[in-house]
Amino acid sequence: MTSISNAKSNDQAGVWQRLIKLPIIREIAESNGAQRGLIVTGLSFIVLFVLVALFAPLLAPYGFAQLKGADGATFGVLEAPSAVHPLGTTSTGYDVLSRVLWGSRTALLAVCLGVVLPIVIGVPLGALSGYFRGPLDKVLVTISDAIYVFPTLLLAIVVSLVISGGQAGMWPGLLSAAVALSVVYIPQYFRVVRTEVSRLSSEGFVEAGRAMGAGDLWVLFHEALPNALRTVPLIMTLNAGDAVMTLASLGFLGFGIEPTAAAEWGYDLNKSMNDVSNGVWWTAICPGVAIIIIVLGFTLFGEGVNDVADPRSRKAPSIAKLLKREQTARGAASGAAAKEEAK
Amino acid sequence: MSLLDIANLQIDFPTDNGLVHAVRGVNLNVEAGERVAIVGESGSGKSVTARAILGLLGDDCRIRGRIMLDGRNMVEASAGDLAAARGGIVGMVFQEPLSSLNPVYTIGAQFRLGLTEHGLDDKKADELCLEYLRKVDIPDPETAVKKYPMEFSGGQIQRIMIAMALALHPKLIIADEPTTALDVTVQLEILDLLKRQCAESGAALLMISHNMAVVADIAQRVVVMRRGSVVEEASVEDLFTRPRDPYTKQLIASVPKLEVEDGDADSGGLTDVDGNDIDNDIVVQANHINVFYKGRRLGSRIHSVQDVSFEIHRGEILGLVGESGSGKSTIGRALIGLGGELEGELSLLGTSVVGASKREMRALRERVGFIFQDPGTSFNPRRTVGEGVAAPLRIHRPHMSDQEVNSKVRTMLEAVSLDPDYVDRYPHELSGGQRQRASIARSLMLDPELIIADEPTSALDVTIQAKVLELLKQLHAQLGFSCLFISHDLAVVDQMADRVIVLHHGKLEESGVTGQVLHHPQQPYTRKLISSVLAPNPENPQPFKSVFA
Repeated sequence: MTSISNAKSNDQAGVWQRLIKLPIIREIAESNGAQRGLIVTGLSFIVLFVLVALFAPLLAPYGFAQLKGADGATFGVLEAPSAVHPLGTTSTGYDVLSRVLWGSRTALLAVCLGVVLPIVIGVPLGALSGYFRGPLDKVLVTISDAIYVFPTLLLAIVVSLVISGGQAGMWPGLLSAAVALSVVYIPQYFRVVRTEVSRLSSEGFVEAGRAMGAGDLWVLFHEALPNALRTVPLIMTLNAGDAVMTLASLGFLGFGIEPTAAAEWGYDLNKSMNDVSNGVWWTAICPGVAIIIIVLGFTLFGEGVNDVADPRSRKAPSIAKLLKREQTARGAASGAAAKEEAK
Repeated sequence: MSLLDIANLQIDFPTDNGLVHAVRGVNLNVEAGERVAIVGESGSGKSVTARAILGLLGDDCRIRGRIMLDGRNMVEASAGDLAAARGGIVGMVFQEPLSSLNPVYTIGAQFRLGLTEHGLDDKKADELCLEYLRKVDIPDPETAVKKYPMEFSGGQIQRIMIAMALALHPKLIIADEPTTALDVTVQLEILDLLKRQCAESGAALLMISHNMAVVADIAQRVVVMRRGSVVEEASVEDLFTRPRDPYTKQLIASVPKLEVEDGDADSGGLTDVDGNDIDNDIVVQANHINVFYKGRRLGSRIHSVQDVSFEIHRGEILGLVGESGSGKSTIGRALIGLGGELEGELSLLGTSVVGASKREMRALRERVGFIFQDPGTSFNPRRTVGEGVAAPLRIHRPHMSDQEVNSKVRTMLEAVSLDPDYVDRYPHELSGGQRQRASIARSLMLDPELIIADEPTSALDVTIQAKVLELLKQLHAQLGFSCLFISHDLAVVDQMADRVIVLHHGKLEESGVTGQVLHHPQQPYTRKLISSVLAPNPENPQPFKSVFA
């Protein structure tokens, strides 16, 4: 009987041991105090954001471009929050709550594109550059340095003008934001990965790979690169928040997505500028809060994870706690021994 | 009353994996003017004990017990008392010469800072600085004070550190592995200097070391530590002639010894250690090879190996000996086409390495195994030991099934006396010695004809080193591979190699049958090298000095 329950608890311990090695869960387990607060708060904002984006069609009372109710009556303009329109309507007559909920989908797409594209390009370039060095490396480093001086937003405006002539549907609007972001973000991934790979190239196990007669690409992708990706998740989270901001800024400046193509918070904010002076708060506050929650979520999470990854900012567990743990372990051991003897 | 009296010292560090009991109830005392050594392997708590004396451990750890230094309890001392004791009562010399001085300040500035902190004015401090630099034989102290740490060699930095430690007439010098990072010839000079200066100034010396031979040379009394406890304490004569504790005996027995006296040089034909004739088949033939590295300035080259010739016969172990910067590792790497630019004639297993294509080179590497120095980094931390050991098969036998690979890996791990179940462990879960065994297993995966072992045991504790060397020897006898054994340690090479070549500043100094070279060195450098070897024997710590110096 006891042996069975023991086996069970061992099994549970095994599952926990494996769980604890997964990213994010490991970070939470290793964190303590303020760091854990940052990570958990950030993570819950992000999860909320993703869930809302996925289930927007179910959650939103109306479509993002809907101007008429099911009864065929046109929505009023700048209606205050009511049972029919929980967060009121805009100056064009859209339902604010629906726009905010649908807008999360657009934002999520922007995040995905703004994160995936630069990684797909930046990481391999950085790896090749850091491993082989030589003239290619010099050229790439110079280019990436040059890009550092580019203002993101200006670039995004130019790209959006090139792609869509300024006003656009959902995909051209997203794409112009994503392309502009990629240009600026690629150097970030490139730099980090390049530096790490080039440091690892003199490390024993990379040298060992070469000494065994492995090809350069095998050594690079099998040995060096997996060890060079430590800081990539951090850049990812920080850039994700930035991607939402850039998309909203484009919309705010009038270079974004048409309201009929997709819901986009920056556009809504732009249209609500006049409302604020007229005492209408709901058209500006709601999309604004949505942007803040998401950017804050990514930033808090990123900072928290960064703190955990840096051993110097991590506090060792307190001695009192460890002593207690040791005592209970000893107590349990002696208790088990006593039981054995009793048998 | 003793100068230093440590009673029941216990030090615990909090870590993520629980409390680490680094020091468990240590008692130790040092009388005024006495030279005491704490000896132990890594993790024995010797350095932690020494650092606790000056409160250098930080606030995280828990220290219990008593450390009476010159009548004051340092465990409860205030920050001011500690600051006064550091430098004033106790001078400290650290292990790493390059990181113990601040690279952005001149020697003079750092010297002065240490002294003015203790209330001296600048003028007096500068006078003392020159006086003590002269005492430790720094040539031309007036210009030396204006130089930066990087302009000095490791040995000179250690001299400067000793000068700084002595300048305030401390009653105790604590030297934590002061010669471990230095070459043997330099080590001897530093030990002599420490002894002489302590005697002159009347300071006591507390020396921390892992090296039994160093301890035999410098200490009057020895404390042996293991896993945070003192296992034996005795006068140096007693400890080495009548060790009581089995661990001390093992520690002394593990020190590789250079046997010069009793070996009469057999100058006959080539014979290996077991007396068998060595096949005249040649595995490596190097004729006047030169290796260059790119210099810091554009177009400049560093000539790191200069006009070296040697050959390795099938089945023999060739020892390659030299101090740091002698080019010995460069030669090992050049053999398999790694590292700098190679010129001259170098053939490996019948193929010329100079001008070989990448494809040819890779095919050659398949037939050569490489064992690296640092077991800490020679395995990819993200892959299991099994995957690491299997890598040569994955590279060169891509069609082998997982099952075959797995069984071969397990057989190999068994062959190097590792538990085959370690395949699923990660490198950091293994000890240094175990990782080095795994590294040997990996180098043997493809039945290589040549093994290049680059300082395979110099990062290991002596007791572990003895076992790994034994394993290498036994595998060599079984498998009959040829071996280039690179080491800075003459005694280790003496144990392992059939023939030996001695390198100095990239040039070949001497080569020949091991016994011949070590018994009858022809070159002055080889003689100096041999006479610098210390033996774990307090009555005659430098047994070869009189013979060869």
